Amino acid sequence: MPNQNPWSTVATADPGKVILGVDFPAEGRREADFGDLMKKMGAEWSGYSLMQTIPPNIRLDERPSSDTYVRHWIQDGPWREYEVVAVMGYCVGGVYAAPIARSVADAQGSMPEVVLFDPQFTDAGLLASEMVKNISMAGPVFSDEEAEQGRKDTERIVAANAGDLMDAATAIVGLYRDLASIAFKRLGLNDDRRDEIIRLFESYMAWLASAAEIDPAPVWAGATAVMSADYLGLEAQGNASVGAATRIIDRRFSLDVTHADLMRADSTAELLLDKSRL
Amino acid sequence: MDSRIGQGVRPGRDGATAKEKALWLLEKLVPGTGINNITVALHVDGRLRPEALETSIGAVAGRHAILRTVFSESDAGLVKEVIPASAFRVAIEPLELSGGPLEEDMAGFAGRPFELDGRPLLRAGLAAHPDGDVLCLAFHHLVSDLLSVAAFMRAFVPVYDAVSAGRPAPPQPPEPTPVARDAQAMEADLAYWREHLRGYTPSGLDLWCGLPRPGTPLMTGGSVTRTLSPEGQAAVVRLQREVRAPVAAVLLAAYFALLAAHGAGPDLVVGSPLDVRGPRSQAMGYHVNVVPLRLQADLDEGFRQLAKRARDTFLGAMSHAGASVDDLSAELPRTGSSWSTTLYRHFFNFLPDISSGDLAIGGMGARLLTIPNAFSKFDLELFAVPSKAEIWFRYATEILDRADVEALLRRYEALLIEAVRDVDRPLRELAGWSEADRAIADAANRTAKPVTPGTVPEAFLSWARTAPDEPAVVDGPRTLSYRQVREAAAGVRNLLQGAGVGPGDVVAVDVPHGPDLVTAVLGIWLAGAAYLPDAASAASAGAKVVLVGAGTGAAGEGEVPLGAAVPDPAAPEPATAPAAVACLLPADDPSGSASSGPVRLSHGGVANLAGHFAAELAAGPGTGTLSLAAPSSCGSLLELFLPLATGGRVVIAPAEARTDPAVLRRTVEEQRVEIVQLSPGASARVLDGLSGVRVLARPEDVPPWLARRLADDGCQVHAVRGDARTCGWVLSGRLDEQGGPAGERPITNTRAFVLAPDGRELPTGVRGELCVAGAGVTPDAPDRPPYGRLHRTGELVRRRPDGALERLGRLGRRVVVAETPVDLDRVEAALTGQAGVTAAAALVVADPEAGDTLVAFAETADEPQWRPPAGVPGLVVRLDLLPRGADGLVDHDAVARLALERLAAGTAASAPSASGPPADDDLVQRLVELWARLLKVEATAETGFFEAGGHSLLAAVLAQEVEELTGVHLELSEIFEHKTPVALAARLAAG
Repeated sequence: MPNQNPWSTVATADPGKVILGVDFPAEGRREADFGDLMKKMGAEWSGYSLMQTIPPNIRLDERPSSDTYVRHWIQDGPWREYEVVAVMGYCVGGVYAAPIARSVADAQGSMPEVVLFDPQFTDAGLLASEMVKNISMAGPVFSDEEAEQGRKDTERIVAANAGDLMDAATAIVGLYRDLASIAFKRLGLNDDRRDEIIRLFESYMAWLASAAEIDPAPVWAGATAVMSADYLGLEAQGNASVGAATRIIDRRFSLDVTHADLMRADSTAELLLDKSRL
Repeated sequence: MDSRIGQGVRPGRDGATAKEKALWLLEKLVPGTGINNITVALHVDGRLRPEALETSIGAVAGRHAILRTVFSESDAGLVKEVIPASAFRVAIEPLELSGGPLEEDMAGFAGRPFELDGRPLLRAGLAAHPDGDVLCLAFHHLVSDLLSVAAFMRAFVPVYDAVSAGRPAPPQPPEPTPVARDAQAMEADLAYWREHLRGYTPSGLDLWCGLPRPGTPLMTGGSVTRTLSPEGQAAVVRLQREVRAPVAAVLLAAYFALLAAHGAGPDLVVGSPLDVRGPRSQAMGYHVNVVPLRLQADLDEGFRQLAKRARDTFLGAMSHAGASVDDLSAELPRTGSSWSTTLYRHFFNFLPDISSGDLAIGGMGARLLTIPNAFSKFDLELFAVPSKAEIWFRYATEILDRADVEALLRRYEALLIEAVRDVDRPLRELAGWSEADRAIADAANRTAKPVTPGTVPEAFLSWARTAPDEPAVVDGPRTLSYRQVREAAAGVRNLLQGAGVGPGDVVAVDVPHGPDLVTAVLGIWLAGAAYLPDAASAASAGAKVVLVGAGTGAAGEGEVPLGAAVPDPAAPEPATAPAAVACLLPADDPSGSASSGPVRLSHGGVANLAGHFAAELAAGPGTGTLSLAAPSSCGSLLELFLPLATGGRVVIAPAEARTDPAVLRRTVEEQRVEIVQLSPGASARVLDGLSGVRVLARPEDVPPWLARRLADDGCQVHAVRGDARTCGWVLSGRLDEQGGPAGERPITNTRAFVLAPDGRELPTGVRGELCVAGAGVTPDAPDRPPYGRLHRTGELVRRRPDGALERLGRLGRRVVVAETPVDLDRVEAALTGQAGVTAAAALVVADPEAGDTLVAFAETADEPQWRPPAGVPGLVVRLDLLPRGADGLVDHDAVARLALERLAAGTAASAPSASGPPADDDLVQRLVELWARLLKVEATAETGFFEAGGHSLLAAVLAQEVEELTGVHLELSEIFEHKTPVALAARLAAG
């Protein structure tokens, strides 16, 4: 990301109470995000500003640690001016929300409310599924055989790098680079755009992989989890990255909405109005 | 081999004319093709001298400036200039021969495109063939046309003769100076054409045969030639006299009638080139103007009427040929962006005289060769060469099959021959058919065969007499023999007669699926009545009584308890006549609206069904047929009565067998079932795992992988088609092991027709509605002479050359919009599936600006937040209320009118932007179009890129396109932040 600000302001309000949203927003996706949530909450949360994390421009071969990320956000955090009333995380963002909430609590003396939307941990399976999702997104650009080969390669990488997520992420990004080059050539897109896309994916993989170092349990113990029907299903099926996360949260609510719609659903808004301290 | 533009003074450059630009635009549409090339080849009895050829070409070009005209692209568009004769040279290229047909070897040379970069637009090639040299000349249409090529040859041959003999070139008449176009006459001509085309919308140009139009035309072409038979030639001559029209008008009228009979029009424009040389008939160059000939091809008229109007149109065109369609095209409605789709897709070339094939050059004999043109600018182009009694069709191979075009040619000639027999006979009775077509259709419908015995109860009774102890009905452990079934049925008959039931009455049946149902139905039939397997409609169908199954408690008013029947061993009386009603089954209206009450089916129809499939499936005594279908479904007719009519066994399946393949398989194995039928619309997965049985199913219900697997496991899969109004199946065929489309044929005593919307029968290869007449069709179907009681199935089919029918889909509701098949029912379902939408109507509207457009209306009170669901194509309009008629049903005509209005107004379902001032409207609109193109959904200024299905890869494409559009380079992250067209436009405006 060229924009090196660690935070982006999604909504502002004067009184000075802020909600922090932890997410990887630059993926460009159809899942609803914190901006949608603020719109949904509308007048009820008009007294709050929302600021959202922007991931730092880190390359995988710098082998970032989770500290790299957290420090990036903490050191320029807005809590000198504002009172942070809540820290919210989406998916793996919820993992980062924990050390951020901890830092905020240390800085301002009161613990913000922590709300986690479809929380999950990073594991090799999650890295693989993100890669596979990207292969499918390319759609007809790849033949069935190529797509199948891409999926197989992804599995092979994951199996070979079972111990180290950073290594797995690096290898997956390498595969992505190869496939993206082919796809972009076929689409007639220039190299700049290709590199941009690859950097984006690499940044996302790094963000995912680094999160694995964090143990959010102490903070999550007092957090509230809001889960979509999709993630409830994943938990029931024994999905490791979701199950390991939700197991350590006591206060949890599930809604009959899809993962993509979670942050824009009416029922989410009602739940927050009902159950959160905001 | 290139010409060098010499050091001499270059004459001035001029802008290209509209006609020339039109050719240039066509080249850009299909680059790398020689689509505008005109080629002539000469096979000489001897050797030609290359230097003499080159000199002669140079001499002729020196005398005709048009041949030295070259074109190039500049900032100002296409420009042309004339190269001085001294600087102009066309080298003779040596050509290779492969040993195959000469015409094919020349085709490569002929098809090589000319680059419009200032180089000459003619080229010459020479091949040394053992039988003599072949000279091939290719011209670009910009400097030539067919008559110009002939003029060139007339000028060139004497020059070559002289040069090769060492004599000076003969003098030639001075090149006529081009006459300046009279601006006033031009304006008059343009006014004529505007009037001629007023109100025309080019929406009826596709024929009902061939393939869907591809998105990017390649314009590859083929051609088929036919020499008219003596009878055909005589017909043309006599038609001219009878209708008092010139031969061109006669042939044009026949062309219009042929196209209309195949689905084009009726308001139809055909393009035609008119030579505008006038008295300067020797002039070389592109001197034809293409004019749009418009005619209403009304098939209720006779040929005489049509030919008169064709004559008038032709004459009008010739008097106003000063303006060509290219001069008009700036003002005419455009359909899409393709060159040739503005007004017409069919072309008519009348070539009054073409030089004979033989000439002499350099003292040697020579023959003109026709080089096949690998391209076709139009769907179908007719060339008529009356001097040779030849008609040939050049056609786009992407749109039409060769077989279709051959058939079209046969039908063209047949039309001329039939028309002359009675020039006032309505064209609908003779257009579009040839004898070959008739033979195929008639043979396919020759299915008459006596059915004995005439009714199923009669057949059943005869088996009960001859083999009384054989099993008739098997239900798990319980088996009933023919005798037992007969005696139980007789008991039911007695019971019913005691309740006052007699011949012609209707008895409703409320008995669960099983042996009791079988005896109930047979008992009803023995009483001479008809059964109605739907107790709910007993009253409305006028049922005398309702026969209720055992165990349903005390019988109510009008109910007769089946349990009270006592088996009667006495032999029953003979059963009823084939014409009597056997049953009433619930039926849906084929047009898709709600069901319309039960339909009556005759004993003859049921017996015919059983008789046909007994033979097709080799069903006989002992053959087990699985009974799965509910009694109210037409599928039950075959499952129950095929065995009972043939001495076979009805094997009652447990209810779970309908959905659980394991249960089905177990039943089949345990009870030695040989025939299994899949109910229409049921999931075919239930058949997975069956082996060695005969399966009946609609081909569209069986996925190819399952068809292959069943075939591999020894199953024979029979493709069947029909519905309640036809006693179940009326067409059958064997399903291709690759799962390809099955060829379906009518069963015995049944005739199947492919009909146009106006009721005309359509021949081989032409799509239309499947309509059925015959033994199984309900007596409630309307009588449509000459077919008899005709049932319209609502299925879109076409007849294959072998006479079998191929189903293409549901009629009317499956359309093709922008080359994508769209199911209108599914579009409506997608809309009504959204919360708050109470009704929806989807239709395709012919929009003069954009071609066929899908428009859907959603009735919902949810405004202004309402957005159509993602993925619904076309324009979606929100309405508080759909227009309805007095009967409360949606008024589809009003909906269609509304759709046209909305398209004209360019309204889209969008709420005005609530945040901030509107960005530059034009930019927003361009972005909306970009959204729609990338995401393949209807987009508005507020459509979120990712919500509507976009992802990062598409975002990269978007970023690049935006950069090309505006010059602003945006990072992907900015695309992510500004997700709607209006937001992105604002960001771009900020620079």
